[in-house]
Amino acid sequence: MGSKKTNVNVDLIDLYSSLLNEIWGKVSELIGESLLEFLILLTIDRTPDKSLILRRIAVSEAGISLETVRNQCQDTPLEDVHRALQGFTKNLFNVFTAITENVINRELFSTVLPKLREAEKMISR
Amino acid sequence: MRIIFKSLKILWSIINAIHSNVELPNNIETVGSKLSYLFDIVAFSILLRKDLDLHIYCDESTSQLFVDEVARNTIKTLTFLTGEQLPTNQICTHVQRGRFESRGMGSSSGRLKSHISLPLIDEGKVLGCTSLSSDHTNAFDAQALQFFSLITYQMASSMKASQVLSSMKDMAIYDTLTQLYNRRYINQVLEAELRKSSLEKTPLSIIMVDIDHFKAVNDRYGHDEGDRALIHIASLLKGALRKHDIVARFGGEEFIIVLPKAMMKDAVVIAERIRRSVEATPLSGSKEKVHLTVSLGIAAIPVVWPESKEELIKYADTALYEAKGKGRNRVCFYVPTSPPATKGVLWG
Repeated sequence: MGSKKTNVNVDLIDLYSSLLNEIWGKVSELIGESLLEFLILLTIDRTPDKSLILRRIAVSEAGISLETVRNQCQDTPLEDVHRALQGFTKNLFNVFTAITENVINRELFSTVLPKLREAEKMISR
Repeated sequence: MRIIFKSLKILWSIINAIHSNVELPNNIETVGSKLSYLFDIVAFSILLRKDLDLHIYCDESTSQLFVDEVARNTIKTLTFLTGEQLPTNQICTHVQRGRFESRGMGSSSGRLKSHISLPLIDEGKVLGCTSLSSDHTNAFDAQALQFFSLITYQMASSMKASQVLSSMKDMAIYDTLTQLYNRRYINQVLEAELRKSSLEKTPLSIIMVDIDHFKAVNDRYGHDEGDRALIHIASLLKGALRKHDIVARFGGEEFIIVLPKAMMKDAVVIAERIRRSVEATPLSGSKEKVHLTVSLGIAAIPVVWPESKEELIKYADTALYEAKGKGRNRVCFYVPTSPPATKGVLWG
């Protein structure tokens, strides 16, 4: 039972990892790595209920990584992992909207939305 | 292809303008007018966090309503980026209007429909933000954002370079402890004032000031307290001077004051004011109040006719030693024992 939960957690974290890397790739092309790094850190900082999961997101000019989340949150309830990463992604979109209206988000919707839906499906299974 | 090439050419000229000798936001007009060729904008703005200065460069036909909306949105963005409630009543808005060639004729008195902002960042710190505003819906696309972010990076790097340069300039002329001018700078000032005095035949006085028993302050209270004493005296000196007088730390516990167009009697009044002010204002905030006094020596043109600044300083130093010798906490002035054979080279 425990091992099944762990595998699902890893799958979910990998899905979000791929989603965030995609966001990183597209947005860094638009606004550059250091500005994007700043905005991601701002998003983490502004999330009112910073869970341990968010604190373990690593970001630098080289990119974003959920490696520590993957290694250390395997036993965290699946819903908590999903809620934290989904909330983070939504907040990041809000930050993008606050400064560039829909310019960044328009570039992201086509790839991000299917992955968010996939994550929701994984939770409801 | 031709359009992209044209855009890149404009982008290049904007980057050149940003890094020109005139620093942003002082060259906002040059940068802003070029931006209008690249973007569908009515206004371009920069809000600086440190000075709370908001600079808006907009098309000449822009309505006040639009300008107000630009200001509101730019302030809102910086508030969002910093997480600080900015004192909006302290923000100083500078609006410059110019002809945005790309907009052609006609009024742009419409409402704000598109507004994008990017932070000006230096090592993770927000220096301010810069915005593009348009009266068209969806005026900006991904390419516009790419160009704008490149421009914003250049602005931030130019601002950082100018800050570094300005702090280097400060270090070159200011004493880091007291924030008074340093010896190197006052030597240049004195040289220039001496030349001016000679050409315009105007008086010039200097006062050398030395803290009495400063070594004892250091020995008894420690060097930190000694540093505080220097800062304390520096502040009292600044407070006792006239608008055009210049004070510097000459070295150790010694200060020099240059008093342009001051006769000996004027210098004596100022020196005595300083002496009384130091005597009456003990250094507070430490474990016990430290009572300080100063000795002051004055040299004045035309009482003396020095051939160089070094000679003028030597006369003031002689007077200072006389003040020390007579028991300290007093003002003495230099009077030559015999009148010079000539007026000297400076005034004649």
